[in-house]
Amino acid sequence: MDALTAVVIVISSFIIYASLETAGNYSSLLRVVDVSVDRAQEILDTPQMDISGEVISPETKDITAQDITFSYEKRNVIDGISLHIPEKTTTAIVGPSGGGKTTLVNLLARFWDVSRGTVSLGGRNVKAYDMDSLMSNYSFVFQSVYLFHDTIANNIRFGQPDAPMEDVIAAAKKACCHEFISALPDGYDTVVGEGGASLSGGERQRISIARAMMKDAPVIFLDEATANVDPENENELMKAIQALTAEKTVIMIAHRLKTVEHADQILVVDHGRIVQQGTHASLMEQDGIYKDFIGQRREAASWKVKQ
Amino acid sequence: MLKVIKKFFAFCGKENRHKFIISVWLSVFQAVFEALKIPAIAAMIRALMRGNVETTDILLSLGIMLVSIIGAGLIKAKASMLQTEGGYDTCARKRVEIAEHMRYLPMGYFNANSLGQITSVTTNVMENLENVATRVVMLVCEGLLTTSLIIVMIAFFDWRIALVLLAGFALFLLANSRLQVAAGKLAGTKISADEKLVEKVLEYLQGKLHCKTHRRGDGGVLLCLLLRRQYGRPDRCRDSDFFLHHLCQS
Repeated sequence: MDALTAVVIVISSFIIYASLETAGNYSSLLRVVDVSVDRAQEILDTPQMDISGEVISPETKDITAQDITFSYEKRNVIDGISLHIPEKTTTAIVGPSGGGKTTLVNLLARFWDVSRGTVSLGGRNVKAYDMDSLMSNYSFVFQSVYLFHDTIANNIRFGQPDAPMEDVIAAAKKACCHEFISALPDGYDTVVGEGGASLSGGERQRISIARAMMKDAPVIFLDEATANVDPENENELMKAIQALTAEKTVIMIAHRLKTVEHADQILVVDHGRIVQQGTHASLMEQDGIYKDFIGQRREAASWKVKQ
Repeated sequence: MLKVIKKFFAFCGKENRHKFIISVWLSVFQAVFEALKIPAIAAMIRALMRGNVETTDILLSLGIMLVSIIGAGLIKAKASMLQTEGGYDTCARKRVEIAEHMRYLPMGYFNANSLGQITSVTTNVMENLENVATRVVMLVCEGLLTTSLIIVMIAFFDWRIALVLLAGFALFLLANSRLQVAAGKLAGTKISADEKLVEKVLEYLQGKLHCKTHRRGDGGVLLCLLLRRQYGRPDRCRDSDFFLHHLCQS
């Protein structure tokens, strides 16, 4: 080997191994890349609910559950419930804590799929619906309201981003929140904090009702919507709920006597089963959980602070 | 190593994979331009050994160097742009895909999996993939490809040089395989630690009212962990009450 060749070997090795050195320095991070890809893919590989269905516009908005059962962690949370909720009626679901009320509502709304039995909307199994098509029939007002870090107007028009301001204001008026919104320095352009932290519970709840009104869905689920309301807001909130639920199929989980006693039917759920069913008047004639429930509330309402 | 690269390309989707592949091929051309430095140097050394450096030798060497630097620079810029676009687009799409997928997951998924874990995937993990992973995969690909091609080109020039370089390359691959095994043991721990951290921070913030009213040492301990991880200053842990107070007041 001549001198030139030897020198070229030495010099070219620096050039070649420079890029190899860089590759070597970073190649240890390939394992982090590997795990990162696996983590992201894990979520994408999690089986979804069966959302393959048709876009259906049901002719009627009645809801039926036929012998539904739901298990969670090897425990039957809902055990063989059958019910029928005619359209444009109000059904109140009451019962002891942990009895399965919220789970039942979640199953009727198809947040979870039943383990056995069927849930139908308008005579069609909810699984036959395309998921978005099914959800377009439902509006929800939850006990715990979440408002997004955005303006009040955008929170109200959340489900319909292109809705004009007039519609937003009309919904807010029906939901009895127009006055307090207008009183804010920026009005409808007021940016609420993450989760709506800058508003009171009652105010958040009424905005949530306005949001549900904007959607104008035929079926309304109320999950303890009035649970966290203070007396000052209660009147306004009840008016808002009445406006929301007029001529709709309503399913509500409620604890307040005022809300429950006017329902078209009351379902008493305990240990995953319907133990009593009927109107307020008919249930008050039977001994059971409902009569005790009403008795306790009346007793609590009559409590006064001794002076 | 190749398995991970293949997995990453599969993760990226067709369009972005195309960008990354173009970027890798551009690095092939970059390697050609980089390799031009060798004949440029060889020309000068030949002239020096001849004992007579003429202007033509200098101009030839400089000319080759200039072509090498400009060519490599331009290609590198284009390749970097493609990598950045590909990385950003991959992760933007994946975040949307994950959000859409989660929309139709049964609600039980969110009971079984912690919010911190889910948040960590959509933030830390995706950021790793967007910034770190793209760079890492491209640099490793470029390094391996550049070296391989230069060795092949040198083989036409002198097979003995190529053989020596190939031996070095083989040693590198052997050392790297051991490195991969060692790194593999820690990679999972690192990602899990990130998830745990996000989980604890979210838990602390969501329960901040309870931390404030109960003044539990747990908050101080958590803050210590956060401070150690972020600032590497264990002495601050003695001021944990101060920081807890400060955080709750802000």
